[in-house]
Amino acid sequence: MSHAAPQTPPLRMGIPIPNTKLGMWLFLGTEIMFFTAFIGAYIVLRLGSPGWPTDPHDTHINVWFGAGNTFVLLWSSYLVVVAHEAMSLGEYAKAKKFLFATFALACVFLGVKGVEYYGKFAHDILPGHIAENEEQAIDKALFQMKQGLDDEILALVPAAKALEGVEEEDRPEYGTEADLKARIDYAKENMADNEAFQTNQKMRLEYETLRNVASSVNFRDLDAAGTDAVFAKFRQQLLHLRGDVEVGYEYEVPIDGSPGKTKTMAGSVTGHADEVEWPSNPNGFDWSAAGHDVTIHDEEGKHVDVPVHGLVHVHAHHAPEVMESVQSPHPMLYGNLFASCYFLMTGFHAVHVIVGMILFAFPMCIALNGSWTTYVENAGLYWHFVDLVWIFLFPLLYIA
Amino acid sequence: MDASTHDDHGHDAHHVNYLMIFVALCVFTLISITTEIVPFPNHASLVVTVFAVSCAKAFCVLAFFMHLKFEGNWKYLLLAPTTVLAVGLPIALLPDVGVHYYTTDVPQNDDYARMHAEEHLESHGEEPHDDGKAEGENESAPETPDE
Repeated sequence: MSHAAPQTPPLRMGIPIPNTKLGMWLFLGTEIMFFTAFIGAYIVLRLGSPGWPTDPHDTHINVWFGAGNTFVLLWSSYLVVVAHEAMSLGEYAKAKKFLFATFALACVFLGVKGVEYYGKFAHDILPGHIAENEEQAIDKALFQMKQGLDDEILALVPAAKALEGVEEEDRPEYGTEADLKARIDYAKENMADNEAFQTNQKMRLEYETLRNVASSVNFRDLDAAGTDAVFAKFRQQLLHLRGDVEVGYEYEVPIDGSPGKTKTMAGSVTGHADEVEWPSNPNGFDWSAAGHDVTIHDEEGKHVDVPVHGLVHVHAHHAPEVMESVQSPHPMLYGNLFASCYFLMTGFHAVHVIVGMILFAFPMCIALNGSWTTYVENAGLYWHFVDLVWIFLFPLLYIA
Repeated sequence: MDASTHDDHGHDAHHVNYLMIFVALCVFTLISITTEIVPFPNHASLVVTVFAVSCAKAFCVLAFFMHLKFEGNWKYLLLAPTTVLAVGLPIALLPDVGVHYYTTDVPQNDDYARMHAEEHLESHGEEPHDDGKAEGENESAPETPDE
């Protein structure tokens, strides 16, 4: 006797979506936790660090770069979703164009990010490189000055001549104090009339003076006023060596609640000598500039127009080339923690952008057909997630 | 899995005006940028505003671009654990680091206390110490004359 098989349809297990899509969503679930750990840690660290740097002049965070990249990612997200829509409608050529455009926008995003990173590297806003108080700022400036002087000697005095006659095994390691001493000794005897070497030696004396002044101070014994006084003096001397121009000026601002009445304020702007544009005499320094605007290029190259009603003082000095590597000493409290968080979050986000570009590269390289629809959808989901992360990184890092 | 199988699962049957969503996202972004230009009464209101805008943008992306609005209930099953853990992490850390009940022993505390004391003196009209910065380099003093 045989039994008839039941005619009920087989049970379908699991979630009613393609396995690849389920896999992508599970992956995105882990990705959400991955980025939330960074973002959460950033929020917590920031709340626990009074004095966190927010001034764009200190952090070199440019809100317009961040905003531009936000628009770029939003636009690319839109293009991905319409690419998927075109795939669903069988318009594969159209979908491919959208994917190409998405890829191009991802390149733009990385380009802008590259410009931002270049600025951070140029201003040494890197984890572990930032002076957080006056003492560290002085140390850093001295370190940069010494490094510049040493690099110049290494370039100026060839080792082959300086260490001529010294056995190979007795030769000091490149760039060590012994190596530098041997080169300087050689240059003193054989390159005494070399102008660059003479300047280097003069600046080395200046460095020694500054270092002696700095090392004679115990910052822990100083009160706030004492620390400020020492730092101000050091900074003034260093800026003079760097060839900075300090322009003092006066200007008038309206007094709140008193229409028509103004008060005179005084201030100053410091910039490199080559970056200051003088309205009346671009080749020199002219007191008749009073009454005009002085344009200064700030460190990001932007013009800052200063309404000058009266120039108060001008200090100008042309710096030797070796001082180009020395940055203006400027402490930034919690700067290192800020830089760590910035590079960690934006760096991992940029890695995700690159992965997204790789995902889009595959369908761009082959003839698309219906079998790629789910792939494009999954790649699109990933790309939207990349956009989603930036939606929160932008206000966190650039605005708040 | 081919397209026809995929289309059976639902969300593509819903018509979404993606261009309008994109425009809405751009408008939200413009609002975020405006917070940089328009002065806010305090930092807290700025933070609340920009993150409210961010949440609105995130909703648009999740609901429409990522099609979660049209997906089945599996989305809750899949995303609930992630959400709980993602939100739980900062909340778990907050009492210890963010709103610590003891003073962390870091040198930045001393520096901050000194800076804060100087700001306090300046705001009360006392002569600030001549720190030689002369209102700082690269400053745009006319924009912030009272600082």
